[in-house]
Amino acid sequence: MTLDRATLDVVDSGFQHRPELLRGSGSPVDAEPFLHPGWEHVAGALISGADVANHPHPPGHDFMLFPNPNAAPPYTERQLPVGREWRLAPLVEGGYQIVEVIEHSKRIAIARLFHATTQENARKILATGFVDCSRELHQGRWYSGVWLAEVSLFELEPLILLVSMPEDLVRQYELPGDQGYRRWLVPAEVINRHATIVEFPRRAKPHPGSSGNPQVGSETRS
Amino acid sequence: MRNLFAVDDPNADAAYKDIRAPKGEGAAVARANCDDLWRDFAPYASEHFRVEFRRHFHQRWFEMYLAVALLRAGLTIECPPKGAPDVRVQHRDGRVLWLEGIAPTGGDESTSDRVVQPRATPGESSVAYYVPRDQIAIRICGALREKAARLMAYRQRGVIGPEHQAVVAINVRGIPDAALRGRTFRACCNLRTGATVHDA
Repeated sequence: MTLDRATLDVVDSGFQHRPELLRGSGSPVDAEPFLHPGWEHVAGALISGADVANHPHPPGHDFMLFPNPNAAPPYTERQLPVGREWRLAPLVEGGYQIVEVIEHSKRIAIARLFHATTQENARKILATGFVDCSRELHQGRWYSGVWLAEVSLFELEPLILLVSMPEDLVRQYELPGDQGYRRWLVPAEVINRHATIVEFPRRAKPHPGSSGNPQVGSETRS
Repeated sequence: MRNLFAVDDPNADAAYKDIRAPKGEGAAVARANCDDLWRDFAPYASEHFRVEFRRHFHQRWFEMYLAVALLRAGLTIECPPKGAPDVRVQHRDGRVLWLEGIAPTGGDESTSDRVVQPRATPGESSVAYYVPRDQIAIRICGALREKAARLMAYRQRGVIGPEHQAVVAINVRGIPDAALRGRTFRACCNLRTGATVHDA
């Protein structure tokens, strides 16, 4: 890729075919093994770039599967419906062309919300899950559930739990009002079934810039 | 289900220790991610998994991540004990596909082609540097070759049947700069000043 130094625009880009690489010692390394004999027993390579702190939801959304076109037995298209996979077609002049990148999964945004509580209640919640304990009157109707907020309110309680769950599931439980931060009243049953709950360290601060963002505290990194 | 982080092991991997008792938001989120995966993976984990998870954190984490990704895609899996690839996928039509996972690193000092991430000198501004694309590709090819040989051995021993498929799953996160999703460079000069920047 070539950039214009004045505008930072990309002015050129491309790929270079490198069938062989050289080690520091000078010995060659086969960079396209699937095109050579001796690899028929491997149906493909699945590449992942995730780690414990940076993994997408659903798990495997980062996967890229490169099928071995010469494998026996070969990988069948869409056999591993996770992440993405290359579809190859043979070229007349030899070799293969990538004709499509098949996308299998759709990213799920995860909301990271906070629940302020006591030490004793936190122990119970982590052991057996939440119970509905708060009520809110809204438009003449009472709602019950568990309070969650976009900020860690250590000024209210000594302990904060971090509740992580798919954003789509919590969206409908957001409460109206102007408290200076966004709040949700989520049924305990929904949290217990779908959320992961961990203790949030006192010294940590929620992700900056989350306030006012429709995807509050959610993971957006790839 | 037993807690994945129940044991306070003084010999544990640093990442395990950080995530077991999170001191920052990143570690708390990582803990939540782990607990989320463990909820599905626990029934498939071998009896030694939790010990190995403490000692070889990233490698075992990837094994768990791979298995859960396949499970949540609706596949039927098994995670056999030692002596077989990491995951066996049983398709409804009777086909079997095996996955053997590996999480290579940048290599140690004895490796001439090791990949090292330059660090800025304390007190100085960050530096730009060439990403060693060839060395990264060599590390990935090496991992693929190592596991292809392992799969061949499994086939020769009859663990993987002749009609079974086998895939190598490579997690490249442990190789510095390998997970840039094709953007395989950081910069070759300072774009603001135009100053040439060399590898640190």
